[in-house]
Amino acid sequence: MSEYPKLRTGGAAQYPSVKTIGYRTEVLRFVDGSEQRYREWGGPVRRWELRLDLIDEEEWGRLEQFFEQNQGSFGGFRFEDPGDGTGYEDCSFGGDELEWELEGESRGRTVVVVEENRT
Amino acid sequence: MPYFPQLQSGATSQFPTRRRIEKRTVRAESPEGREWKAADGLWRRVEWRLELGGLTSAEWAAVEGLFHEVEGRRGSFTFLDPVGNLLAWSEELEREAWTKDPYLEITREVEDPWGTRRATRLRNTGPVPQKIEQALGAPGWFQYCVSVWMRSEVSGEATVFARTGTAAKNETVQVGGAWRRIVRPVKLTCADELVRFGIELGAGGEVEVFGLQVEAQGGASRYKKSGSRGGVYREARFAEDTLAVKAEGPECYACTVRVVAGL
Repeated sequence: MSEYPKLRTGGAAQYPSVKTIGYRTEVLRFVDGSEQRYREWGGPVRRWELRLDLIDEEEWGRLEQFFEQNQGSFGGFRFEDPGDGTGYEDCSFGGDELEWELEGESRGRTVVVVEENRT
Repeated sequence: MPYFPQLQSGATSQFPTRRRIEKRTVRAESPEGREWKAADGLWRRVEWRLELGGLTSAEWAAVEGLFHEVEGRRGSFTFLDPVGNLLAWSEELEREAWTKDPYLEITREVEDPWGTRRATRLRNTGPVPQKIEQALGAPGWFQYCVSVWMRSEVSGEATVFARTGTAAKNETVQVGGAWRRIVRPVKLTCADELVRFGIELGAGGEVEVFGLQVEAQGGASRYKKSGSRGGVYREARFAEDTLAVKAEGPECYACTVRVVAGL
């Protein structure tokens, strides 16, 4: 499985970086007020929102190429949590769009969403 | 074929410029919570958002003229990616996008100026000049900038060229043992709609090249590696049926243009 590309600094994210952990729980409420709860997903799903500033053309090129190789949110790759270094073996881009804003020479910015796949 | 116009600076866009890539994936969720995905592998869309300011009335008229010519979103035009490398396969010169003469020998994975092995060695084993070139379906009269890093173990010379059916610019450069980025602006006087960019070596010549790049502007920006898709989009369209212009002063207009293109 391929690995999410690193920036020039060797990291994958910059501050601020947001990580979300989610479960999906279905709640059935009965007429007597009691509830039955069960989980819809097999486990927690992690999601990272990576805001990248001041990235240059080479870094963007690697990211864009990786996005193309994965065909947007279809392909899976290994992603290392930038907060604690834990590796997650099956992750994907969170959406089918990737936008880059170039404010000047080598002054690009983008927001990348990576999420764990539910398998 | 209509073309998105260049500004008087020779560029197509100004900072900030946005470029967005879109793919398409079908997702389905099974009852036990698993998610299945299927990629629409052939579908790809690119969108540029150009924020143009300080336009003269002639520059605005060119943008407006194109908008009328293609009737908003209806018709298509050729768009040259303002933040991309117009060449395809910039580091794989043996690909079909490139045309090379028969006596030109290509060796890949040569050490490049950045210490990796992405450069290519070109060697002319024949008795006559040999060239490698890529043809772009782009207007010959536009402003371009060709850039490439070169070096040679055996000091020599190479010719960087831009040629159409009726016009050409050939520039012979001395190539030494150290990597040097050659940057050559090109503006031809012609009406041809096919431009060939390339490198020519004399008999016995040998150079190592890296980072071949062509941009539709007067100067070179940082090198951008390209793959199968170069930066010439022949079926681009306006993304909207309206185009607004803001007059900020005499001879000073601003507008935001969204352009989209498929594969």
